[in-house]
Amino acid sequence: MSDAYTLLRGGRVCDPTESTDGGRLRDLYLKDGRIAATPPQEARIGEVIDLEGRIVMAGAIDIHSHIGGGKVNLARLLLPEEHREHASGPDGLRRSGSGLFTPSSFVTGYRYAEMGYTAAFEPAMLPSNARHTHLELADIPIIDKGCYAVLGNDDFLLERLAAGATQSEVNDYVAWILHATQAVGVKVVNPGGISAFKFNQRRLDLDEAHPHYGITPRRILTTLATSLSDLGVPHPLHIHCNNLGIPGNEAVTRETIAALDGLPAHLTHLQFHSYGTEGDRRFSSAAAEIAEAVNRNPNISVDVGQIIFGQTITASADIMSQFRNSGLASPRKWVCTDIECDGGCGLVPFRYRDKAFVNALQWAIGLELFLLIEDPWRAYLTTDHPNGGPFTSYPHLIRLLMDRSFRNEQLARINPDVAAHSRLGSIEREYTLDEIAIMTRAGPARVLGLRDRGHLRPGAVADVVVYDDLPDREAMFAAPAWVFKNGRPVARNGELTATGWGDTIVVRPDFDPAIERRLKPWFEDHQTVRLGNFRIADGEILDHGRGGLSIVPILTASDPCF
Amino acid sequence: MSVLSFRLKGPLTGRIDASPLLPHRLAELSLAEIAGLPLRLGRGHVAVGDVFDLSGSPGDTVELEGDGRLDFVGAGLAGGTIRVAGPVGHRAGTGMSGGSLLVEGSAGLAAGASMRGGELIVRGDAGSELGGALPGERAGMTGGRILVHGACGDRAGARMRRGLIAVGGDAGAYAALHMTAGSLVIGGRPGVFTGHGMRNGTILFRGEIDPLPGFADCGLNRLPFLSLLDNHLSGLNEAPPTCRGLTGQVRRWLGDRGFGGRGEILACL
Repeated sequence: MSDAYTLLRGGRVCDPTESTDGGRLRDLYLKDGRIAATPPQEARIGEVIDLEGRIVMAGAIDIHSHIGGGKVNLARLLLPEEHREHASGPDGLRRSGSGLFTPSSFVTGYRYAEMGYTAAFEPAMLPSNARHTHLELADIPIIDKGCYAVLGNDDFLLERLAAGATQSEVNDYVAWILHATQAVGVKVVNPGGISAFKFNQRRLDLDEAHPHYGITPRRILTTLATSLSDLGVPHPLHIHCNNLGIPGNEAVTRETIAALDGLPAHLTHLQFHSYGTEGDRRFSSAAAEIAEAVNRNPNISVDVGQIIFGQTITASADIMSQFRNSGLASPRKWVCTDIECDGGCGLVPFRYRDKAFVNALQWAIGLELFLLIEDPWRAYLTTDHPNGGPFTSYPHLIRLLMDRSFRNEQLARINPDVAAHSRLGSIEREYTLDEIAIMTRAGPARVLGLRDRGHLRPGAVADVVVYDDLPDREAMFAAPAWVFKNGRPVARNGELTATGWGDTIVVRPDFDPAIERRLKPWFEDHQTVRLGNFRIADGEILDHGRGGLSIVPILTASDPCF
Repeated sequence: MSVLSFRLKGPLTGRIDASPLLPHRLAELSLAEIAGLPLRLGRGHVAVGDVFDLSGSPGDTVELEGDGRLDFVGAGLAGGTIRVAGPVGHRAGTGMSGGSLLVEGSAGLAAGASMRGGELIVRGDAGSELGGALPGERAGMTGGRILVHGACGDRAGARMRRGLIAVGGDAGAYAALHMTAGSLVIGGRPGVFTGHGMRNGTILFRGEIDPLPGFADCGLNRLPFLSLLDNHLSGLNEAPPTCRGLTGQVRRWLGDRGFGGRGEILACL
């Protein structure tokens, strides 16, 4: 603790939770890792940094980025050439590391911080992989991190649902999983489909019964979404819809939105779920229909999962879609595997090519979604790292959204059939700085329930990013002038200057511990570890000396939103 | 012909990454510039001039004093000649696409792994993964020639797709593991599990063995191709003498049938 304030003087503060006037000249005071109110005259000011009208935003938050856990590690193993080609040695500040689209854990933290990101969320932590995931996140420096536990294909839940479990029993199970795996939310991946794949099903629609348990994806979805709502978990169910990547899947996506019937939910990597079947090639954009459905349903938030042309690897728990796409692997190697009967895992390296019709259309669909979904508070910037492209391509993506002439230049380069038929060229919208601040900061913070992040009001965690106001928005967002994490400068002009540790963000709803009476025999009969060993103690995260635990407050009836 | 010589100043304090010392990369530089180039030493770096005394002039030939802690010697070589007086460490000549690397002593692990072209000669022994695949790679050697006078370790020619490996001494276990094509000639005795998982290609040696159960006995044959191969070897400067004269009657096995393979193991009688 120090009694001196750090003063960031004369920046244009772009905090859409205060006002949306594109940045107002205002001084910012940092103290003890938090944003402070303007101190009294006699207060001691330590360091003063003159920002000379630069743009100031809160630290950016990546709501969906595969940065740790079993599947990311398998992806690294599958592409050793990536790590051989992109390796860096220790330099006194950084530890060594490697990788471009599956960067090693330390490199992940450095690159995020250098880009002005101060939090990232691993969206697919299988409960049986939770310990590994947290150990790996403990190796990601600087940024805050959190995980969503993957449910909806685990045999315990499916069996209990088939046996007619009550909603309150499911609620207790969901809450128990959140506690035991130290998660901040729950994700459902291809509800029922991963389990059905193991019974030789290769596609599962919303009202198709699971071949063994006889329950439908609709039932799984609504039960889990209701659970999180009942428990007051701020982040609603994080949904990876059924039939990812299949032309015509927009129908199941719209049915999913309808099935939720007003329940809050987050649809992730929506681009991969917005495909129609029109045109000569029976593959078309349904972005307009999906965007309209999102616009009409204020309970729905989305992240886009934009694709970026170039080499990457697709990594998903959705073994059904990954097995289907394995023939497209480039280079020609892939992995699909079951993980402890808890879920699945599929890794298919992929090169998105701008001249290929399908890839070019995917690119256009993602951008159409960004531009046609009206409310930036409910649409967040992601590439579903590494599935659509690495998170390091965010600055490029921001430029595509903010700069129409740049976007149309890129459009002119892609497959001409797509360029000719896409509505993208006719969309005039350009994102403003305020809207970018919403979709990369305030919006994700709100939908995750992070009350002291994503804004710059007094009391917020002092995660502050200062940008030069450059006309080239890609250059601007790639190398911020200053990045502060918890009030400490960590990067200058896009180069790391200091390192440190962020928090692990978790949520802890109340529940009836009697659920353990049912879970204990299940673990003894079917799992590789006992229930007592399965639970991750706080000490396992805290004892490394690598950041603390930050507990997201539960929503209450009197506090529906903040 | 200009020769550039590197003589070690003293014992090495750690493992050195010698991959920057390629003739075509040094040809345009002055001796002072070369002496200033950084080399990886353990976790840090040293300058070339701190480790080596330089003499001669940069051109198409590099001569190195050998040491078992010099790794990546000739890795990525595309042309010219590197001669090493003494042993080398691991991964000598990995990813070579041309030129010639001559090691007068022994080589460590993964010599010539993922090689695409050129010639690697080892007068001593070679370690495991000779001409094999780098970790995680689907293909091993895809071209070029490796001639080893001594013995080699395990998994020589693993995942090989093209090219020739001739080993004068004995081979370790799993020679030609998952080979897809190419030729492996063993002058000494093959080790256990030779040819496991091979899909195609040829393994040739002297004397009967008891192959893996996935290999089908095709009886005694006289194959004209063997004389052609022997002629080819006789035309090479450094072909191991024990690899010569593998002609006449051979027993032929086809496999590995467990992998749908049609590769051949040829035992010269």
